[in-house]
Amino acid sequence: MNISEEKKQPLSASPVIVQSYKYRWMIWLLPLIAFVIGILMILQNWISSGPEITISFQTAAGLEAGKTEIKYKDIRVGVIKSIQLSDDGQHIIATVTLNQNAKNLATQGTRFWVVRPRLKIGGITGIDTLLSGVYIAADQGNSTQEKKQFVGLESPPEVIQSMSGRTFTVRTEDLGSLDIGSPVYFKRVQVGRISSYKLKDNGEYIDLQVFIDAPYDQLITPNTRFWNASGVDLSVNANGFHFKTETLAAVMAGGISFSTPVSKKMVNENTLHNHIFLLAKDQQMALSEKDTSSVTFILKFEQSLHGLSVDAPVIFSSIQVGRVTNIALDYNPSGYRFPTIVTIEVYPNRMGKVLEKLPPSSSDMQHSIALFTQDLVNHGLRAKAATSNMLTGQLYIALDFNKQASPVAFDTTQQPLILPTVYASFDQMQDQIASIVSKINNMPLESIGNNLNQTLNNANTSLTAFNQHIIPEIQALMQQLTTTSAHMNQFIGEDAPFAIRTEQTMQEVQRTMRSVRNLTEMLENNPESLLQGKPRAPLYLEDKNASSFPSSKAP
Amino acid sequence: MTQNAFICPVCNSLCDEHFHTQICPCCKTSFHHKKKLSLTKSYVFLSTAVCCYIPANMLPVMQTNLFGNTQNNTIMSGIIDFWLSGSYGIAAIIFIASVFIPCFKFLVLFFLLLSTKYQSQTGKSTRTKLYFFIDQIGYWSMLDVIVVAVISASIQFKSLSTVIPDYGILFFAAMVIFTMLATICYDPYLIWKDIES
Repeated sequence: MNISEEKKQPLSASPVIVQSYKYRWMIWLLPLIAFVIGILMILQNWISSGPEITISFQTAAGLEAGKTEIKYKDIRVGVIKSIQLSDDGQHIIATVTLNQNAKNLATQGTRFWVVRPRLKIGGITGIDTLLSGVYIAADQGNSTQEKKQFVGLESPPEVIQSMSGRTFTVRTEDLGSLDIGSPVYFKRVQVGRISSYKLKDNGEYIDLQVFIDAPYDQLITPNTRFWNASGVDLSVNANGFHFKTETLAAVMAGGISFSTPVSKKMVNENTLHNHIFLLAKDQQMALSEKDTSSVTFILKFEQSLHGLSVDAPVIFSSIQVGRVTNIALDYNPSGYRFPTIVTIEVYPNRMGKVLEKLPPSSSDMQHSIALFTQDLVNHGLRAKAATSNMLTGQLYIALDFNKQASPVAFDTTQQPLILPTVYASFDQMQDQIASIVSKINNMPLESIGNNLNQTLNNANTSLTAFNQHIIPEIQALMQQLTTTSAHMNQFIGEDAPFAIRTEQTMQEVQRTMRSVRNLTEMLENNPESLLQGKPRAPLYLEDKNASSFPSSKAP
Repeated sequence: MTQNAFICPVCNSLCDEHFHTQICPCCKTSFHHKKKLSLTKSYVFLSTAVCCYIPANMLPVMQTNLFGNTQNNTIMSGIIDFWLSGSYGIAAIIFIASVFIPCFKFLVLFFLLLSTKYQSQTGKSTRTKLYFFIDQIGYWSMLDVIVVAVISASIQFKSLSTVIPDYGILFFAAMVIFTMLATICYDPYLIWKDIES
C-alpha cells in the first residue's frame, strides 16, 4: 500500500505527467514519418525505372545480366535484367529495364545494337568498350507507337536518327563493291554514306538509301547525277585504256560520287524525297546529257564483228550519237550466211538541232524521221563497223556519207529502220593482208627448201676437199718458214760474226767522224790556218786577260 | 535499505528514492528509477526501425562506377555478387551484419515487448539474457555503414572508378540507430515487474 500511495501521489499531483500523457500519441509520428519517407523513396525508385523491353540478338557475347547498360547518346538509360535463350534456340533474348526518362525508347522504330570494338576501313570504333565492357546503344525512332519486343542489329547502323541530313534513293543495277557504310563523295569530300540497300523483289535493281549529312544535302537537286566511284576503274573503250581512282578509302571500300549541274530551279522537297536517282557506271556516263528520246536502227553486217560489244559507241562525224544495244546472229538461207544483226540506239538530240530543222511534213514523228533517214541514205549515209583501237581491236559503229556507195532501197515503213552497211576500211585492209598471206601460202616453199638443202650439201663437200688438200700444204709452208727464221737468227744474232764486224766498222766510222768535226771546228775558228798552218796558242785567252773590268770578281 | 533504494545505472552507487525524479548524489545524474514510457518508446522506435529497414534493402546503398560502367548495388545484390565471385567469407560477414543481426533484433525486441504486454511468467532470466545480448550486438550492424563510408572515401579515381554512397545506406544507418534506441528504451525491469505486485 505504501508503494501504491507514493506512486499515486506524484502522478496526480504533477501536471507535467498529465501533459506528457496528453501528447503521447505524437511519438507515433516518428515511425509514420519514417514510413512515409521510405515509401516515397521506394516509389521514386520504382517510378524512375521505366518499361521493360526485350531485345533479341544473335549472340550474347559480352552481355551480362544486371551489368550491361543501355546507352542513348552515351547516357545510361537502362540495364539488362536477364538474358535467356529464345524458345527456338536461334538467338538470345535480353530483358532490359529502361529508366523512366527513357520510356520513349520503347517505341516503334527504335534500334538497338551492341557496341563492341570494331575495325573498319574508315577507322576503329568502340575502343572505350575494351575497358568498360560492351554496352547496348539505342537510337530512337520517330514513331510514338509503343513496342516491347525488339530485334537488335548485329552491326551499328550507319545513320542514326539524331544526325541531321537527308536520305535519298539511288537506283542501281549492280551493287558492285558498295556496301552499307560506303562513303558518298562530292568533289572527293565525304558528305554522306550508304545507309542501307535493298534488292527489289523481282531482282531487277537495287535501291540504295544514301544519307547525305547536312548541310551538303542542299546540294542534291533533281538534276543531281550519281555515279559509282568504287575501287579502281580500269576500262578499255574505243579511246584506249582508262585508269581512274577516287580516294584511297574509296578504292578499298567502294563509294559513290555525285555532282549537280548548276541550275536555278526551285527544289520541291516532296518531289526530291520520292525522286529516284540513277547510279551511273562512271562519271562520264553520269555527266553526259540525258538522252530524252532515242531512235532504234538495225544494221545487217555480212562480215565478222569480232571486237564489237554492247554499249560500243555509235559515231556520227566524230561525235558519239548513240550506242549498240544488241548484237545477234541472223540466218540467211541463201548461201548459208549468218549475217550479224546489230541494233543501235541513236539519240537525235546529240546531233544538234536536227529534229527542229526537220521538214514539218507530217505530225507523225516516226514517219518524219524515216523520211529524213531515207533522204540521208540516198545521199550516201552508210553504217560500218570500224576499228577504233588497233591494240585492243575494239570496234565501233560509224555512220558516214559514202559517195561511192551504190544506191540501195530504203523501206520507210519498217520499224525499226534498217540502215544499209558497207565494209569498213580496216576490213579491206584485213582482206589485203589475207591475200598476201594466201600468196605466201602459194609460194613453192618446198622446192626452195630442197634447192637450198642441195646447195648446202655442195658447200659441205667443197669444205671437206679444202680440209683434205689445202691444209697439209699450209702446214708444210709454215715449217719452211720456221726454218728460214732460224737461219736468219743465226745470221743477225748477238754473237754472229757479221754483227761484230758491223759494230767494229761502225766504231771506226764514229772515230772518223769525230776527227772530221775537230778539223772543221779548227778551220772555222782559224780559217787562216789553211794558209798559215796551225796557230801556236789560242788567242781568245789572251784577249780575255787583257780586258779588265772594275766589277770583276776580284776577291 | 528500503524497497525504494536502487542503484544508479551510471555510477552504481546506492540511492534512496524520495521523489519521483531523482538526482544521483554521487554522479549527479538525473534519472527516473524506471524508464519512463518504456514500452511505448520501444514500440515507436522499433516500428520506425522496421520502416527504415524496408527502403534500406530496396534502395541501392552505393553506386560504383568502374571504367564507365555504372552499377547500383543494394545490400542483397552485393552479398550475392560476393557469394558468386567466391568470396564466401565476406558475403557471410556482410549477410550476418546487415541482414541477420537487424532481423534477429527486431524479432527479439518484438518478442520481449509482447511477452511484457501479456506478462509472460516463463523464461524470465532467459529473456533478460536475450535483452542484454541484443544490447551488446546492436552496433555491429553499423559495419555496413562503415564499409560503404570507407569504400566511398578511398575509391575516388575520377573517370577510372568512383564509388558514391546512395540513399539506401542512409536508411540503413537510421534503422541501426532506431533499433539501438528501441533496445535502450526497453526496460528489462518490466520482465520482472509482476513479481512485486
